Amino acid sequence: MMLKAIGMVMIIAACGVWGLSGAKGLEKRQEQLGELKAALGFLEKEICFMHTNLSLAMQKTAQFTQFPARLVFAVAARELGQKKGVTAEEAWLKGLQAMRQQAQLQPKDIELLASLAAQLGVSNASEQHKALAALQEELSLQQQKAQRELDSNHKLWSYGGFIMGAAIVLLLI
Amino acid sequence: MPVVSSPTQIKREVLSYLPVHIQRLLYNLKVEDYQQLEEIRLRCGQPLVVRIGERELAVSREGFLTTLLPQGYRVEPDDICRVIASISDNSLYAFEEDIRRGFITIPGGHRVGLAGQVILKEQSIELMKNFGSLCFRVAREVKGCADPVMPTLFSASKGTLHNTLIVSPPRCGKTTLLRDITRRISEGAPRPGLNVVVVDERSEIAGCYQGVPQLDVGPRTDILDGCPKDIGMMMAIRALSPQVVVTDEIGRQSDAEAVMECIHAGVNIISTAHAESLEELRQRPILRKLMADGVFKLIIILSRRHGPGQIEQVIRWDAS
Repeated sequence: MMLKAIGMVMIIAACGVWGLSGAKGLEKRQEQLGELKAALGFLEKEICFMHTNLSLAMQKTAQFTQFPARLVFAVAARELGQKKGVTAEEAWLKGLQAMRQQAQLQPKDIELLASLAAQLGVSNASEQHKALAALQEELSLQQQKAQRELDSNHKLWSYGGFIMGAAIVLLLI
Repeated sequence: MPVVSSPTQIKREVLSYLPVHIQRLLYNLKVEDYQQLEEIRLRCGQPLVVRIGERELAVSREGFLTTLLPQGYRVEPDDICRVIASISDNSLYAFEEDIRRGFITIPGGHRVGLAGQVILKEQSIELMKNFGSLCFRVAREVKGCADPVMPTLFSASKGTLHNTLIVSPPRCGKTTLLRDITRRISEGAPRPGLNVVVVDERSEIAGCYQGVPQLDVGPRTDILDGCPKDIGMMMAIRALSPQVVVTDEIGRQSDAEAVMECIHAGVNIISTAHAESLEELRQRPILRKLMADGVFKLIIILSRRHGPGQIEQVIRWDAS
């Protein structure tokens, strides 16, 4: 009887933690999209107004950005700084790869960020401005969607885990 | 004369901008080939070509030089993209003005000429994109090449500097000689050094990279890099109080007017002009007028008869 009770508690707790982590993931995705948008704004200023070289602009952006969004800029800056013939496209994609393992972003968010790769550093300031502004706009929309998802699904995830755990327990009894 | 371009220097300053597989092909060149290397040309879909002295050769897939162009390594679009990324430090936006002028100067003062799709806006170049070919021009610093002409640059009686024009067809070493003259005048020995302003419209004389001269133009030299000659000469007179203004390839009416302003302000001029000979020079109205007005007291004519920088004639010019 005692073992049964412990088992029930464990199932409910495990499902509850899963649900809570799902809710936390929603919160983090929304925050991380905002952080990336702000970082891209910083990068845009460095490129379009300061005309800072891309590796240095990435490095500066990384310094002013929170983890894990920082990773994309730090890794790209490191790749470009080595001056081993790596293109901005390759460096940016490597940065994204490093970040996606640590971030709560969805594949479509990464895909959106990857679309910048082919345009980064390869045109004049006005074209760079257009590309970076467009991406910030897209990220803004994604962030709004993420916020709506957070508002509507946060409670569902938070309590849903426990409810599901309880349901499993009831089925097993 | 010490030609400052060792294989190590060329590898570090020029070849390092090429994709690794192309660098490997060029590593097989002999020491003397490196010393005479003038150009590396990459044209999309065409053989990789180098100019070594008077010879134009293709570089084969195995890294050997050949006169048979079809045997040369075929340059891929990706090679061009990688070189562009490399020379611009992946930051083409930081080189907008250079691209409009058609070249990017890299550390060491070497120039990479660009060809691609030119976009015009109101009759001026807005931007260049879709690059199709690139030409690396190796900057040659030949210290001491001005030694033979230095005594003639100064008046024997007064010791003052003559306004001088260096004349030759392209690739005969006008700019190299001009640079060494600039260095010597600026350094001063054995005469006192003079304050020199170099108006370096095409970044060829001092080879500035991010404002810092990559080639030795002397300790008393100020450089207006990328500045149009006429505007630069006027800026120099107003702001930098030079004793000598050095500029390359004068030929426009506005250049001639600025030269006259310099002369009237008591500033000496040393410049260059494209022409095969004195006769050809006289056929160019603006230069003919400058010569008729007695602006230039010394004309140095160069050729490539025995290699670049061959001094054919030094003419003391008396307009009367």
